[in-house]
Amino acid sequence: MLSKFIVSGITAIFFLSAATGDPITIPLPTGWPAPQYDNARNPLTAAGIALGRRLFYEPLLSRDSTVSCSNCHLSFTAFTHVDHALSHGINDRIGTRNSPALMNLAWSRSYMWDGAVNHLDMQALAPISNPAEMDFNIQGVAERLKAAEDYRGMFEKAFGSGEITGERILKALAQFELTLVSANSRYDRVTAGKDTFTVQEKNGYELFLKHCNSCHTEPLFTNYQFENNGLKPDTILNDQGRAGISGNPADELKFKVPTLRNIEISYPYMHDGRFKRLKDVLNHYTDGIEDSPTLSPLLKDKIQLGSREKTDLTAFLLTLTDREFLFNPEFRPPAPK
Amino acid sequence: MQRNERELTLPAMNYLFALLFCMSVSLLPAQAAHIHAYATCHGNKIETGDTLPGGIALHTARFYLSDFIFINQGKEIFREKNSYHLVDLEFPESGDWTIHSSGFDEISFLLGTDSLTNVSGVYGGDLDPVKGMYWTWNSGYINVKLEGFSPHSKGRNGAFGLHLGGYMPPFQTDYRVQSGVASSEHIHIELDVCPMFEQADWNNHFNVMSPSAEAARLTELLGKSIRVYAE
Repeated sequence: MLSKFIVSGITAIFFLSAATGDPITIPLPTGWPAPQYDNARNPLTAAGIALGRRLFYEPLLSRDSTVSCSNCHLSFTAFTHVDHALSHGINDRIGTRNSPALMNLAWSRSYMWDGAVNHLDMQALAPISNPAEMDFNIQGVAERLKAAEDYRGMFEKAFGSGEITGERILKALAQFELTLVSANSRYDRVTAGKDTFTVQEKNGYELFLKHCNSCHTEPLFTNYQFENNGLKPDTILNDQGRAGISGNPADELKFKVPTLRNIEISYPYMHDGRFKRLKDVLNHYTDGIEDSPTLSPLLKDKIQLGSREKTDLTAFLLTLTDREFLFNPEFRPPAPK
Repeated sequence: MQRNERELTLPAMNYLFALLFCMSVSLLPAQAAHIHAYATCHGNKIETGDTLPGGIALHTARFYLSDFIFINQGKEIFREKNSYHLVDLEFPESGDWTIHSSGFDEISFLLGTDSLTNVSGVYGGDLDPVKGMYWTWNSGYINVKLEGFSPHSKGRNGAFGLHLGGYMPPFQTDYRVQSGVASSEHIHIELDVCPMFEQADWNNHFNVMSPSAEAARLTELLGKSIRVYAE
């Protein structure tokens, strides 16, 4: 009970600050690197975060006002669309990629599976305009919010005047998204010396360090690089990954290494959501790697894991689940007015 | 009693007026330069809706000019703050603004936006994404947007769309213009679009929508066709 109280500290202080109107900074969990996001140009405020949260759950952002960010990014499932291989948007249109889980975004160097977006502020423009997602535009969003009843007051509280601009919409969304920090899993408590792994989890952790940590690097469980992890290309989606952005053939079939935090509940897995179970993922890494010129050198040699080792590794991965993050009431839809 | 108040008040008001006058004089710039930026075709000013030589119908023409630096004898004497200007031929007044500087013999500016601007998050004003000059599927500003129809274009019904942007090597599309110009009250900046149109690849690149060698080539052609002169 005491340890739970202590590990909740970061999040509690964060939202207490937001509630009191004190200056808010992105929380920096012990041992983590400095965030990539520089909030000097977008200082976090309680009103800004509240506005961003409201916008995150706002269907007016989509062309037919039916879909909000939360449709593909549900708070209870680490802000991904659990059980959906590919994201879907208005009119039941299906996209080409799995919706990524959203957490610890301040530490990310780029966004989207192919790193197409270089800054969190700009990320929302992609789903808003994607025909398979919201099929709208930021100009139209701004006009709708100007016509809405209560947004002007929220913008005034957040930015000092009621002017509604694209810049302010995007900054508010970024402010809310920056609060989505997951750092209170059992793994974190063990690292902080407040808990211990079981024997099985400890074995799994050692296997993780040996086979996975190079790409899914602690403590954020990603190295933020782009890698080809040997998935057989989907001939229907024909997704070239990072090469589609960089134009560099050396980037073909490379996708951003996702975080493993909250991996237990953020299925299905991979950029195209092809694997429903963690078991499928581990089987891919031991028996399913397809060689190609851009395959990660770390996967050139077959990974050897027996069934017991896979069970142990899975046990460790489950310690990355952060229930406080998943059930944080501050992340849920704002109460209706 | 009333008279005494007036006697006390009048000198105070005179003093106040004198102070305000001095303040207003000190706030006035010694001289201002009015910038007039627009597009031309071989020196003739154009507007959207015009049909250019070669039968090109120009429906949209927008471009960024940024990072204005005023120079005298090789030394920077004034650098404009928040120096981002979206010139939109649909709104000719967007090309007119004032800079409080004088005594320069050279000016320098970018056609487009620099790489730092492209990686620093969202901005307002002319850089606000509501202006429609930011790629939504890939990061970066569209530095020049030209849309219309050309009888040479292989696009649908002769349509073309040149969205020229890109901030990372090897496809950087900002172009630094440095031009000697006499200090004057009116400075004209002409972007001549026709030399670029005459060298466009209408068969293969009637749509340019991403950072590419073609985007960089076309932007360079545009940058080289900028003329700066004092009125």
